[in-house]
Amino acid sequence: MMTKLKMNFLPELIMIDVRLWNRNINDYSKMMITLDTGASVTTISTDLLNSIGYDTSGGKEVRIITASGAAYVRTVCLEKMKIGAFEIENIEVYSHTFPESSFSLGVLGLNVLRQFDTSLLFSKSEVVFTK
Amino acid sequence: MFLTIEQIHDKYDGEWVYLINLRENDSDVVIGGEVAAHSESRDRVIMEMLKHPEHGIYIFYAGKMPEGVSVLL
Repeated sequence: MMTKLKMNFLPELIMIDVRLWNRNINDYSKMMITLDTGASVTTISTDLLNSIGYDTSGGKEVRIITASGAAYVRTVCLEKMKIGAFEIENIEVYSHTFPESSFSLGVLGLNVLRQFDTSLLFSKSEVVFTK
Repeated sequence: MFLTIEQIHDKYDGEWVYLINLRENDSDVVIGGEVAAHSESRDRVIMEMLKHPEHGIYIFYAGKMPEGVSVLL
């Protein structure tokens, strides 16, 4: 099975649309996220996670190493995420307040990406996920 | 007022945008919506989103990065 997503390059990052399970409305909410193969774990803005009904205060504390140094984040179990036609359940994500200068509110990291064969077709501005 | 993503990038270049009433194409890609809030300050836009969580969480930085700036995530 395969799903293709359009990638946007504004602002000079690979941005794609995904859906996160919103506990408040029992439905998905759309999010624009940065595809980042340099991120071990998918990380989402604390404000966004709180807004869709996830408690970000109680998870395990993890030390992450970023390009600008180290930071501490908390783990959250995201009930479901939808990437095109694919639905993934019970994904561990990190809750983090991104610096405003990062131009993004979330990164889709390797803990999700490696569940697929992922192809970046820059000539077509497409990301192809295959399982 | 509905705007396409391209129109939003042009009109709000250099600002954070909170988009609601999203419209998607057959491939589930957001093609546009209504701009509920916009600002050079991301936190100001997030504050607006937090006031109306029922409208979703579709927030993004519109336009290009400022000149002389690059990102290493």
